[in-house]
Amino acid sequence: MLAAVICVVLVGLAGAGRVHDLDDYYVMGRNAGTLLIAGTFFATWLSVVTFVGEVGLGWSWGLPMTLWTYASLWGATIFALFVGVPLRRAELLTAPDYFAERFASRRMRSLATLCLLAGLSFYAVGQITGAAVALEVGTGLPYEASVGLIAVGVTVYLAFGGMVAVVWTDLVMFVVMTLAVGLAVPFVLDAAGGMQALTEELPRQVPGIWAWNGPEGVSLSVCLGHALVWLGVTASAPHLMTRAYAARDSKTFLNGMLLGSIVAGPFLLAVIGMGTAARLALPDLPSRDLVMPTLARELVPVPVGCLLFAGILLAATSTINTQVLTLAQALVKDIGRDLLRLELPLDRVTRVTRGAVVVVGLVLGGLALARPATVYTIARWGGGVFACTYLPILLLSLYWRRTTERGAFWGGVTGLVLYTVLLTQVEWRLGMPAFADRFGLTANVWAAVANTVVTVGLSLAAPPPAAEADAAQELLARMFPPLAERQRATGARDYVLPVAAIVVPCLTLGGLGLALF
Amino acid sequence: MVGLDALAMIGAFLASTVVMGVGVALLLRRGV
Repeated sequence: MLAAVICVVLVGLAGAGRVHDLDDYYVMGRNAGTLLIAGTFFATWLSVVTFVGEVGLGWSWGLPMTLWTYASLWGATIFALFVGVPLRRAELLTAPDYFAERFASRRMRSLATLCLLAGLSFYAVGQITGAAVALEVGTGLPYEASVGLIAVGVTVYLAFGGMVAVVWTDLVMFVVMTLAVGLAVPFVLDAAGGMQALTEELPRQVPGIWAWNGPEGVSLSVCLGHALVWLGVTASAPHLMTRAYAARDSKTFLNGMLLGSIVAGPFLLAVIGMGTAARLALPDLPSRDLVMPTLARELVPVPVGCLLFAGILLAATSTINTQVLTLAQALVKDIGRDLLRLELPLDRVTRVTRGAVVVVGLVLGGLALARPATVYTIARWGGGVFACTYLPILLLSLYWRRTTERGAFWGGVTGLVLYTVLLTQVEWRLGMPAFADRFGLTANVWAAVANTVVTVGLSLAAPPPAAEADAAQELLARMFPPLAERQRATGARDYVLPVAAIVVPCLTLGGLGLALF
Repeated sequence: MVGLDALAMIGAFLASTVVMGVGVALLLRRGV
């Protein structure tokens, strides 16, 4: 495990040598190829919420119900097709840059930055906590030491390498994590007693585990709620948005996202299946967050277990590194340079951002020491913020030219306030299933709907001022050039990945279906 | 026993990846 961590830090530091200017540090000089985009997308998307959380969900909900969370890959698709590609063409540096440029507005930048800082901090603290708990249970390392290891490890190479280090280390993590899961699945299946035990013995012990709505038989709106939460998080999170900025061009970005998703599908299935299978071998665990670490310690041979622990650590760090970098960039570029108008020449921004990375890493580590509630809950608040603030405004402002700054700003504020109030005052008190049963959908879906209604309503009420309309026109012309100027598929080779995206899941899922029935 | 609804969920999962592959292929054909 330590070897894996050292390897990642070394790769990160090697990346540091390639950082020459601001573009390198913030967006990797905009030259990442298909494989690097696939790796960084996969590793960033696959957070510890997925790696530890989904195994736990597979264990307690069963495989079919946990598949609802696969909507997060739908989110990634929506993002790549409708948001990522135009964002790549806009040549921006940070996520709030888009909102500021599209609406020629400082208060839009403030709002976007505020959401980013609040959302990503909570999200990242959830990640650090999850990984540290897993390490504590699995290796006996004290919780505080685990937090320290993660925070310091990430901060060191990030400070030197920026986005270059993030993308390269993500690729290494991508390989280690797929290898770990691929090796572990047969052992877990064996420990559970094989496929037959899963289809015959397991439903006897846990009735309903193979039902579409899980052993507790929750309602459709609860399942939809889970799906929409995950979809929204992936379709709008700013640390995923900035993946698009690093791609060499829009075609490369699309292919990279597709390749990442092709691997992510079967991977997620294996992870969830592993959790469900572990239910037979480990029927009594106090918390579902403990399934993954216990499984790694007890159900697989020691080398595979070590690889899984390395995977947990990497799943967390690969998401945390991007989040810390995105936070530091927002602090320095958006708040320092653009909002407070500090005298920061562009060449000094890189140096100051390196410092901010260290500060952010240490602050988040400090917050994680307080050991907040369960990983899933806390990261959900942080992730959910973007689905009800960024997502509706992003989609509207990209595809509906009439969207105005006034509409977007007040829509965003409505989404943020309503989400926070509903979630903390109502949903957390009732519990998510009870909330979804009573109100039809989850808090962040309602907040996203309210955001959309306010944005559209205010935009229709008054046309944008001339300066704002000009800024929007200029940016949108850059984001959506005439079809003739765009890249297109030129030969059969360009269709290899889309075809693989269909064939690979058909084979893996077909295999699973055959094995089950 | 494993019911048909489990199969339906897996089918939906499959359908989503097919939509994704087709969507990207169409977009590549049109120009990105």
